[in-house]
Amino acid sequence: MVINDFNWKIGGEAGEGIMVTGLMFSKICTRMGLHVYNYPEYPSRIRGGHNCYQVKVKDKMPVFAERKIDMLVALNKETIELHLEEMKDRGIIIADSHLKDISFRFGNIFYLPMDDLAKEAGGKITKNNVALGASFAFINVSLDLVLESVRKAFKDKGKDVINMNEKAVTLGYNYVKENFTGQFNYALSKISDTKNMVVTGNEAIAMGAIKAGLKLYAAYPMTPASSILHFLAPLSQKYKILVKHTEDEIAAILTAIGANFAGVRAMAGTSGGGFSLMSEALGMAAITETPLVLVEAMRPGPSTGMPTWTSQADLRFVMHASQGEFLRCILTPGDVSEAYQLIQLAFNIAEKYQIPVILMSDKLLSESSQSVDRLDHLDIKIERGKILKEVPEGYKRYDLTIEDGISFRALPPAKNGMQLANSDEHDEYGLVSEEAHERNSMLEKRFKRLELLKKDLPKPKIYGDEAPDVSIIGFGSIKLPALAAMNILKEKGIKVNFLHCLCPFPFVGEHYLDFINSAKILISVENNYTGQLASIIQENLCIKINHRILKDDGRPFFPDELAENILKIYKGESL
Amino acid sequence: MKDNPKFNTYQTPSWCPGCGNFGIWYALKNAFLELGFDNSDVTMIFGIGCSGNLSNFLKVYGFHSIHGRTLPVATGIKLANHNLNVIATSGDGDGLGIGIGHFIHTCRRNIDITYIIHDNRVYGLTTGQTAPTSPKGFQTKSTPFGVIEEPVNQLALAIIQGATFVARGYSGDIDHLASLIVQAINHKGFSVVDVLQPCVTFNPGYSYPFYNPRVYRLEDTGHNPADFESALKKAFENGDKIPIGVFYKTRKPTYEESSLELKDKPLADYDLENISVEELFEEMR
Repeated sequence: MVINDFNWKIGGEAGEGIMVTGLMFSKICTRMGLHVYNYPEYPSRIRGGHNCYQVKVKDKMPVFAERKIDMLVALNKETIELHLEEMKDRGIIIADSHLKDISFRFGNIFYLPMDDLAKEAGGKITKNNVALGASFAFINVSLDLVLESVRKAFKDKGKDVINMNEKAVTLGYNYVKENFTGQFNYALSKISDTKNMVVTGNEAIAMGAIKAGLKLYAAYPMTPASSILHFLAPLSQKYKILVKHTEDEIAAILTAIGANFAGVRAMAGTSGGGFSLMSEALGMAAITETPLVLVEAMRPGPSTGMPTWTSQADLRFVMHASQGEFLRCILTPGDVSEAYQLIQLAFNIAEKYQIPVILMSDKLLSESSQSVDRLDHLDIKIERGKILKEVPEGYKRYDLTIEDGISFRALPPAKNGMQLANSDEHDEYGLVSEEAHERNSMLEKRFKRLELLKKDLPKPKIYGDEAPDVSIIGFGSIKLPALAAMNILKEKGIKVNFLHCLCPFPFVGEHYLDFINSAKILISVENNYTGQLASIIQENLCIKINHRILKDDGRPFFPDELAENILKIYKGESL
Repeated sequence: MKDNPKFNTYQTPSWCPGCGNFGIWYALKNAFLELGFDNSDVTMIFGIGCSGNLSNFLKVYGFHSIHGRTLPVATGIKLANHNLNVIATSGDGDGLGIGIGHFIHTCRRNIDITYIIHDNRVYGLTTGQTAPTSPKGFQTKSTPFGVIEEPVNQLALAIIQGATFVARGYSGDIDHLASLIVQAINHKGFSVVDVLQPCVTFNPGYSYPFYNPRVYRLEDTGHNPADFESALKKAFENGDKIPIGVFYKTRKPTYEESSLELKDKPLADYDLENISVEELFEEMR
């Protein structure tokens, strides 16, 4: 019997409640003290496309999605056909009885009259909860725990809805207990009273931003960033945050810049397409030295690309976007905890250095959810940088005599604080100037804060063995697949260490040198086609990373495939 | 005509002699005098073009934004601190060409911002190309065979899209323009002041000799600005007679008044320390 190591997947048509059921399954697991990683896949359409939701359950962190499934819940035929290849030999499929007469190339299919039981419970709409009850019956989780969670999930929907769904869960649960007892090799059992949170990357970003004092969020809907907007909008009155769905992404970034100029912490969020529209204004934030925080949640491009899938191909774009040269900072959290913390750091850096900071996520981090026991220990003290309360007469917004290049902000309507935030090159008051000496002084002013900024940038984190056979390097959401792959390799006796980059720009070379120089075999692992981080390392350190494991088909690296590829390189085989 | 030199910077205007922007500059300064504004009481957002150069000649809190984008910047500033007097300006090319989307949406929003359009019917700073307000058949460097499209009617657009104060001034009549700007700033809601602004260099056909005999003041005609239909009708009067004055004025809740999160005090006045997200954490368990 395998206890507390379980990979569950549910699939069906869009509109059948797959996402909700998946999240509920995972929350029931976390209420037993277990850890989960939830990975949804869905096409860019509202009804009829295939949706699936995968929950990997383990008794300890880190957890990440695995390809091979222990239990597949198929609400339709397509789910079985699409995911048959992912089944473990001893895995099982739970399907509706009406599929009984179709032959699938797989033996362990348990047929349940899901539609009939749902109708009995009160409506076809409860089919997903019949499946939920059935799933937990197979893995020996108590019915009480499942029902308690159902009550919590539907608490705002009224007694009738609660009763109907409780009945659906119970019918599914009992049907399995009565008909298929003892036919499955996996079980979950409670390991502690800790009820872990289940949090998506976007929720972590939003909560971290609230904690950091976010007062205005401006965005135009775009997958996979939209759920930041959806999460913040209902909280606007509670936390006094103006949440604005603007007419387009250009307006979103400009509204955020305007709000920052007027002295609040404001943020805009988007994906690559929206960021393209924001590019011009990004430079305006830089030349006016207005603090700005942006979230860019990546999906595969170019252009519309694959809207609901993951990618890490925008790094170079975000590094270089907008004309001219200016300082910016890019932060790339690897999981929910880092997202929560780094968005707070983003606000501090933006205000202390008066520069744009872009937190880059991707569909994998933004929309997958992860269990964490707590986040509050990651809170960062708010640092608002140089803002004058009393402004002296003769104030110069862009005072060139200040050594570190960071001049004082004055916020309207402070007396004596008049200034021009000017998208034109300007003098110390902000008034237009095209004199060479002034241009040079302002360029130097804007760039010289880099030295100070470097001290505040998060260093890469290094995981794994001290004396590794293989060293891997990656940024952002590569973290969890990499850690999971390392565990697989460890079992095979191969020692791996992993450098996780949290700040690819400005790139601080000395943070990487020891790791890179001591690597026997160095591999860059990235969800893009060209190896962008590897190329950044090469241009900064003149070190070529010869081995690259790259993937940009919209899917994340699954640990087994990543481990297999690392192993091939280790053995000198070609990929 | 008075002047209010307190609002001057050390830079002197770089516009061509006779440019209509001088009239707008004076009218703004006089409006500030009339309103009793100190320099720090004004936050102005400027666009790109000859109108945007005004940013260098007014000693206020200024934001010289990018082409076509003054209104979203102004919106962000106003939402962050709705106690500020926020005035946005842009040229007709700036605000009605590349930025017309923001114009329509800001009208819908009825946010308490004053928007001044420097309307010279041409692109001046880029040395004379057609503007969205240029008349049909207008020949320029970019349209040597004449403009094919119909001109934008910004007053009609503003009236139908929800602006609650819509006026037109003439930079050749500074006192009148200043009084319109005062009314616009005093108005609660999105106020649009379109200004007929001669470009003597690149559009001499629409200069003072053209406008002087044609413009007339609406207030002298008994026009009722509360009358939506007659305001709209006046917005289409653009031939031998060109009306200036307040076309339309109504009172509707502003965006800030309708945003409950702004009810207690401006966002900029909140303390950021000790915000608790514990409740959100609990929801996720």
